[in-house]
Amino acid sequence: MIARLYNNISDDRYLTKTIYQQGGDVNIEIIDDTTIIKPTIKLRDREMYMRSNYIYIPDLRRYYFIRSIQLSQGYAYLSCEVDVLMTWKDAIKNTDAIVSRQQKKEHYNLYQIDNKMKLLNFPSLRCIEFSNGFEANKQEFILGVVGDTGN
Amino acid sequence: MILTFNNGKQVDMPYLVFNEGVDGYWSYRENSSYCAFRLFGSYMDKLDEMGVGFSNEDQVYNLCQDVRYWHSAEYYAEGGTGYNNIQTLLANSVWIYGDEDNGGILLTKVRNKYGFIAFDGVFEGDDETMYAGTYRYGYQTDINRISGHILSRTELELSTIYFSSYDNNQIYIMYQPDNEAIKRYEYPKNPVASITEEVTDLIKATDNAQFYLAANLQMHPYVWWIVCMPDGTSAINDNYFPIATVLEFTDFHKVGGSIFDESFIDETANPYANGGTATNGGGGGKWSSDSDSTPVPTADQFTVDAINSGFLTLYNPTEAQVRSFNDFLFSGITEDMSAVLKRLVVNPLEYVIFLAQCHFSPPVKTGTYDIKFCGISSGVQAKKVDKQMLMINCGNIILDETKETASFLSYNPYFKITAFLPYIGHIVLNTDDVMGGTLNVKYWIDLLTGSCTAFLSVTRANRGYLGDVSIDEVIIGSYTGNCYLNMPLTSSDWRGLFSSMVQFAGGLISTAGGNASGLGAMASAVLSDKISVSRSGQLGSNFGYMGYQMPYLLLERPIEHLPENFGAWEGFPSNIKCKIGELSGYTELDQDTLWTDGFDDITDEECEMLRNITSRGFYVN
Repeated sequence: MIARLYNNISDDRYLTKTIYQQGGDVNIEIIDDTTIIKPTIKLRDREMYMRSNYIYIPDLRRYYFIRSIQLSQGYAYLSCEVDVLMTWKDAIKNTDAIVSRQQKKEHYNLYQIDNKMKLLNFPSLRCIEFSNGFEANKQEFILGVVGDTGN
Repeated sequence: MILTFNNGKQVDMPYLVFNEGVDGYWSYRENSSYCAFRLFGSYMDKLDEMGVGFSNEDQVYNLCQDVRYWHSAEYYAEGGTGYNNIQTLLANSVWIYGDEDNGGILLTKVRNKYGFIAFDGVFEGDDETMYAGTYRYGYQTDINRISGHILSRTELELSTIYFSSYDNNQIYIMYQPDNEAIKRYEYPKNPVASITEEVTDLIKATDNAQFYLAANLQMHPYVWWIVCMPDGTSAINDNYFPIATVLEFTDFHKVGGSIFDESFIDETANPYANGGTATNGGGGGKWSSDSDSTPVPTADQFTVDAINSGFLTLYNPTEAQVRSFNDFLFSGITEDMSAVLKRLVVNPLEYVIFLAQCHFSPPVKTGTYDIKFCGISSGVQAKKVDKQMLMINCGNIILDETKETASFLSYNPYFKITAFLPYIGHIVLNTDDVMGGTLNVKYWIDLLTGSCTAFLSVTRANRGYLGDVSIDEVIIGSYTGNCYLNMPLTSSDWRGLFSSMVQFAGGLISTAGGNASGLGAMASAVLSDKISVSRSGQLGSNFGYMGYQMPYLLLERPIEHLPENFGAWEGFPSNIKCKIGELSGYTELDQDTLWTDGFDDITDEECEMLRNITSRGFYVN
């Protein structure tokens, strides 16, 4: 079985990884009793794996992170874990979903309560006065007497 | 198809039932074109453990011990083995669906040989030994009964066959000879040379389930079926390949027992049975934004007032005029006046209703008028108040939300607005009512008593986030007070005034309750232990006269504390539906809304991984 080794410089959470192939196709063997999700791969080419942290296996049609490498008797044993994002990135991009959080302004609404919002423990305090009211500098008398003046 | 079990239960099971951990399983199709059963002894034990079995257990059990197969008469003519006529077949079979007249599905005893793989007579042999999971073949050439193609049987000798499938006119068999890699054979329908390419791809033997789930028409290698047509002819036909929905067998036992044993469901034990049954409801709301206007009262409401009744008169004297009138009352009365007064009153002050001070100019008539008292001219000229009711319009404050936080922080419970109203005090407003609108304050004052009512109204004209909601003036609050500084004119008046003024006017401190419901964990951290303070005690009357005379708003706005470029790390609330490819940057998906239709080869576990990752946050690029 062949595989292609890469150096991945992207974070695991990126949908499309930036990867650089290390050498050409290599022959690998998938160790028994491992799964397609976390296979252990036996590799003879020591130089290739030393510069690699990512692998694509065409027969499995999957990309894998190389999580750890063990060396034994001239072989390298790569413990891998499937990268579901990169493997199915085209299908993911073509899929509708409900987005719960997003980075871009055109896709978020700040008028929804944001449980991740952190606030200082004190508010800002402002005062806005109305333009009119009672007049502090004016003191008038009002006298009320019984009867009509007739004026 | 209805299956009857040994506990009397009947179950209509149109689905493929598959259990990875058990040797055998059922498979059938609702249209009864085919059915396949295979049961090993160990599987029967499993059924016993679950308390489930077929009604005719003996026949089923015998099936496991002595498996035979059936071929078409045509095949028999070629010298193959098996039953030599339909009658013999039927005598050794059990109808599990349908009948001889209409055709249906048979379970038949098959000789204990390697027998079938999936496609009913694709292969044959006469080996006497059959092992679970392994077929050991005899010496005969294997013939593909569908295509007529001859496959060298030795390729399958001592092989473990994992699965076989039929898809798009291709037959696939995945098998693994001892000590060799997994291989796959493909058999085209049209007779061609055998394909012996080694295909070392795909999946471990333990991952049978994903074959089921992945392909359209895959079958377990242990499954075979027998289709018996009414005319007894061979029913081997591509059209009869099953399309089944896979359910894991363990799903039937998720409640701890067999689903066929429903004794644990007690339908009478509903304590709320008398409270009404569940019904559907809701939806279809029109979300009306209609709103009536409730403007502040205008002068039209006060066209009739007391000062024009003739029973009293209000004057607006200056300070000097007040002194003059006072002099008149107590020293300017002539003997003639005294004689008149003795006939009319004992205490001339009884004819003085009140004297008050205020921080506004009352409406007065043109000119000055003699202050008359009991019809007697005092000689003191003063302005005369024209109307009983006076309105003071304090103006508007526009609360443009877009100039605040332009977010949920501009509203309750994060943003607090308090209004100070002279002669009334501090009023905590409902921020949701006023934010984004224009707030107006108007006082109506009764000049006869000094009583005042302050009206808070809001008008929203496409301002702020609620730009599409427009309302005309609506009164959101009415508050009362008294704007006179009343001056006691007698000793009893003084005593009454003092007693009314001796009251606590300090601030009240109370502790707010716990977290308000619905608040985020972070945002509520600011509010949960905050104390609320009353900003003013009684401010009516004399107290208010000493207070601030202009209304104002106090705005308490939360201060967010976010790292730079927070959106790229955590994003912001979205709740929109769109194609993921239209997004870019940090994204979190609602976990239950990512469907993996069209995701080639993806397994259940990988689906779960994908949903977890996308719901925790990933970057679309």
